[in-house]
Parts: sequence; structure tokens; C-alpha cells
Amino acid sequence: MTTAFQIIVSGILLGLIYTLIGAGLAIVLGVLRIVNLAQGILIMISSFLAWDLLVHWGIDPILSVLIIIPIFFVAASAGEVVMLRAPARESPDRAMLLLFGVLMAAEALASIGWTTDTRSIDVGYAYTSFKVGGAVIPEDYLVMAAVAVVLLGLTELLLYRTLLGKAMRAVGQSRQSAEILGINSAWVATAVFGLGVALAGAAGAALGVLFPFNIELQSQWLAYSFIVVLIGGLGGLRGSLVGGLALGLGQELFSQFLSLGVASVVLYGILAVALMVRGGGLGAAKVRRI
Amino acid sequence: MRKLLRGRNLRGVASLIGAAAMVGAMSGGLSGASTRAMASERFHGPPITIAGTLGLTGAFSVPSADYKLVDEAWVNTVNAHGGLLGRKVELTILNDNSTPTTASTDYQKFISEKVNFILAPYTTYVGGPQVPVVRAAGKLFYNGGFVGLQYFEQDKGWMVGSYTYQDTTYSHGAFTVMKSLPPSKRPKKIAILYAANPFTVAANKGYNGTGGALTFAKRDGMKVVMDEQYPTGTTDFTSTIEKAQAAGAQALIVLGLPTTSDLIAKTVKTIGWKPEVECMCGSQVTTLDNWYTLGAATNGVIGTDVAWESENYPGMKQVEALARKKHEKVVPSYSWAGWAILQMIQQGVDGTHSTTTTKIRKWLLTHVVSTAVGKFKLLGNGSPPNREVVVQTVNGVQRTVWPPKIATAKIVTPLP
Repeated sequence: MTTAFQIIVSGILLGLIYTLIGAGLAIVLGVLRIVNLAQGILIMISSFLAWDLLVHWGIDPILSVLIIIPIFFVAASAGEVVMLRAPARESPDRAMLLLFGVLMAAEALASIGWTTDTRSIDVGYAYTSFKVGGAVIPEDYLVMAAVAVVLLGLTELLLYRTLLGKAMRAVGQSRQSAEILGINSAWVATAVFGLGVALAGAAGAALGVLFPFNIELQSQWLAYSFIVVLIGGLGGLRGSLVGGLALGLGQELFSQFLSLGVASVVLYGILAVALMVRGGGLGAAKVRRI
Repeated sequence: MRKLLRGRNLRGVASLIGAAAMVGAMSGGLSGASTRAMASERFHGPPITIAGTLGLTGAFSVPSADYKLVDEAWVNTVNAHGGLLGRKVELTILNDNSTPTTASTDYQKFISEKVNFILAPYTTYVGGPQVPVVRAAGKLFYNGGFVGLQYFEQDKGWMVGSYTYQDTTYSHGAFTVMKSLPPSKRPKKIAILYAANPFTVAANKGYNGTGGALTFAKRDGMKVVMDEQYPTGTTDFTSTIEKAQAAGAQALIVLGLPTTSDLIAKTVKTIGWKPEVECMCGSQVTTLDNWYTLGAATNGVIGTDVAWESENYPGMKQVEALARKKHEKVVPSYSWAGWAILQMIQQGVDGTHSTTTTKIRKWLLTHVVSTAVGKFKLLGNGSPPNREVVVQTVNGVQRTVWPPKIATAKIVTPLP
């Protein structure tokens, strides 16, 4: 009973953070039809920034999230205007290729700037836990899951309770129709890309607290983003939540009853099965747009 | 006691300067870059050439940068004292981009250019594939870069090394320490977690029935309640650590690479488990800078190293000075090993008054060498005899707990 409760608690807390990883990818893919292959490296860069902010300025990662989100939003919006807009107009695949180039360049630059060393973020709540009903609840999981809930909630409000959110969803449904209705789809696309990357930035700061990290971990986070999107589809943040929770709970469940090696195989097996079931891969997930 | 190097707050500035320097180097053509050592003016005869590759970019760029620093400092020191046999020493380090295939091309180049001494690159992943390449050319491979008992065994003394323990004996020190504990504190049940990596698999299972944590546990009458391999990308160990605790493990032996080892240490601390002994027994994790950023998670954890400053072996002061210059908190194991292998070249040349491979090989396999990692005679397979130092981190300070002659403190058990 305790074991089951432990799996549920840890799985949900991790799942909420994984939702944050996938949400950015889902929003960009859902509205712009672009697979942001740079998602993983952006998450890593955010972890490094959170580390820098803590080590050099003593800023707690929770506050770092508030600093990183606008920085990532502005940088990504500028990047969208300067680099991504033209290829995205031609085809989403060209934009994806460009983002692959961004991934490679960012990885190389990050290796130079931050080196390939492992880093960890040492904050007071990183090494403490408490028990509820026999289940151990790591405080850092709890804190960062709470941060994820707040950010996901705000994103949900933005998407469903604001004009900008409506415009984003309209562009996601039909760019041409949105333009006929007077929506400046180019600027909406810029905002969508900025929002997606900002969420990746928030996820990076949260993950940096939970797990020691180095540049190589970016492929892991990219894979997790894909799993979240493939399981949850592009049905808005609620879909990402389903994907994230499924990933977190699955990871905890498999780790409990299988060896770590097998658990990992099962986890990536889910990715492979989801790709097969969806046929067209991530592209097929577009059927359920935001 | 090892002094902690200070200047943590300068790391950010230093890394920026380092990054700028690397960009400058890259713009000058890093792939073909070579490092020419400063030479004094009075040398006789053609230069003595030493060459090797390092992953100056890519996954192993951090340790590789340390190796390069050590190599260059050694060459500068030797040349400042008249070189070897009165000849200038020239060092060439090529960037293998942390990949074995690039390294293989470079080693073929060294062989065709008839380089006098060939240095191994960092890590088994890059260095292992170069062993047959160098052997086929009839050259001696000077290995201060990686471990691997199988490579020494297969190369039959054509590779000489300076790492004083191989993959199969990475946990040997920890088991020796556990055996030395009073019976009431001696762990009877242990949990082993090891990364899915050839090096850590050998550290757990041994090679040809020799060594490995499982063998040591059996030898010492310990019951292994968990023996679990994990993928190197594992991101959550909570369930696994709880299972180890629930199984009654009194000691946790982790044979992993830095990132996951750090995560496991963090998880043990987070869930509040206090085993009698917790060893991060892979990759000399506790000598790396990041270890200290784990804060409370490091408290009581033991690790191993090839040598300790208080042993005052020749060359240690120079290596320590280099680490200080880089604001490293402790001297990484690879810096000791990197300096030691160059000392072995020097002693081989001085001992034979020659640069002939066969003569030096014979000399090195039959004489005692005095290096930064100790004074020893190589085994027949070219590796040094087993020797390691066990350290324990207590309140952010590393203390030696074994061997007794250099121990600065008694081991603290269970974890504080």
C-alpha cells in the first residue's frame, strides 16, 4: 500500500515537471507545426543559467524562473523574427532543420561557455524530505512541482482567457482564416514561439534543482518532451498534463518493479509504440491542435 | 590534510576567459593545432618528440584541458632543465574531439611521423581503440589517460600505465576499509549500483574472474542484496535507493560516472538513508569540482584516489600548483596520472640513455620508477601494482581514511 502511494506521489510530482518540459514543445508544434528540436538544449541552457544565478548572485532557482522566463521569451521571439520566420513560411520542415542547426550550434557554444562538467544546484530544500502516509516526499520535487502548476495554470489562462490566447488558438486552427479575421499571424507566431521557449526555460531551472546535469542530458530532455507530446497529443496543456503524468507515473512504476535498465527500455518502448500508433510520428499529433 | 583550493567565485570569470581563449584557438584552426613547448636555447641533437591526442572539444574537454595543462607544464619544466639527453622536448597534442575515430587518424599520423613517445588520450572510450594501433607499429603506449585491465593484459607490457588501480579494482579500497571496521559496524549486506558502461561493468563484475565489487563482496563474506545496472541517462533513483534500504543494505557501492553518481548521492541524502558506508567508487567522482556543490549530500561519502598530497611524491607540488592556478578545489586524479606517465618517460630515457622503444620498455618493466602517484615497479602487463587512497568527505572537507600510514582521520560511520 505504501509502495503504491509512493509511486503515485513521486509519479505525480515528477509528472508535473515533465509536463512543463513537454508543454513548450506541444504549443509550438500545435500552433506553428514546427518540431522544436532545440527544446532539449534550451532546457539545459536554462539549467546552467539557474546554476550561474545561484552560484554568482545567490539567486534561488525559484526566483531564477522569473528571470529566465522573460529572457527566454524575448530571445526566442527575436530569434523567430530574424531566423525562423522565413523558413517557417516555406515549410515547417525547413524550420525544423534550422532548429536542428540551432541545436548543434547551441550545444557547441554551451560546451565552450559552461564546459562539459557536471553541475548541481545546492539549495536548502534540495536534500530534505518528509513523510506522508509512509511515502517519502522530497521537498525539491514538491517545490518544483508547485512552480510547474503555477506556470501551467498561468499558461492555461493566457491561452483560454486572453485575446492573445484566442489569437494563438485561431492561428493554430487555420492561419489563413485567422489572417482573414484580421489577426496578425506573424506576430502571433512570434509570441507562440517565445512562449514555448519560455516554458522550456522554466522547465530547465526546475530540472536543474532536481537532477545534477551536464550538456549531454539535453538529448534526454528532448526525448522526454517527445514522449509527453506523443502520449498527450496537442490537446492544449491538458494533453501535455496527461503525457507528463503518464511519463512520471510510468517511470516510478517501472523503476519500482523492474530493474532500472529494463525500466528505461520500457519507457523508450512507449515512445516507439506511440510513434507507431500515431503513424506519422509527431506530425500526426497535429490532428489534436490547441 | 588536503587543502581546499579557493576562488570559487572566480570560476565564472575564469570560464568566460577560458571560453574566449577557446574561441580564439578554434578560429586559428583547432583541429590541426599543436602545442609547441617553450624551449631553452642550448640543446644538442634533434628534438625528442612526444605526441598524443586529447578531447579538447566535445564530451571530455574539461579533463582533457587539465591533461594539456599538465603535459605542457611538464615539458616546460624539463626543457628549462636542459631537456632529455640534452635534447629539446617537443610536445604535440592534437584535438580528437572526444571521439575514437578522430583519435585513430591522429595516432596513425604520429606513427608515420616516427614520434618518439606516444601518449594515450583520456578515457577508455577514446583510448581503448588506439591500443592495437600503437601496438601494431611496435611502439610503447604511455598511458596516463585511462584504465582497463583487459587492455594491459592483451597488450602484454606494450602499454605502460600510471593509474595505480584498474577498473576491476575501483572498489577495492572501499572493501578494505569496510573490512577494517569493528564487527558491529562492518556491513554484512551491501547494495551495488553500476552504470551501463564497459568500465563500470568491469568495476562490478571484474575481468577473467579477477577483481570486481561482486568478487570482493563474496571474498569478505558480504551478502549482495542489490546488484543493479542502470542506464547512464537515468534521472530518478528514488525507488531504487528505497529498495536498497528496504532490502537491509548497510553499505551502498556506486560504480558510476559523475552525473549519475552525484544524483545517487543526492537521492540517498534526500530520502534520509544513512547506511554504514556509502562509496562513490567510480571515476574518482569525489575529486571533481562538482562534488562540493552537492553540499550536504556529500557528508560521510567515501571515494578513492590514486595518490594524496601528503604523500609528497616527486612532482606533486607542481601538479598541485597547476590545480591551484585553475581554482580547482582538489587535484583531480587524472592530473596526478598525467604527470606520472611523463615522469616514467623521463626516467626511462635517463635510465637507458636512449629513446629506443625496446630498451625503454625493458627498463621500465624491470626498474622502480618514482612518480607523482608513488614509487613502484610495473607489473608484467605494464600496469602499476594496485594502490589507492580512500578519502571521506566530512562537512565539505576531504580526509584520508586509508591506508593507515597517510590517514588523517578515522572513517565516520554510519553517514552523519
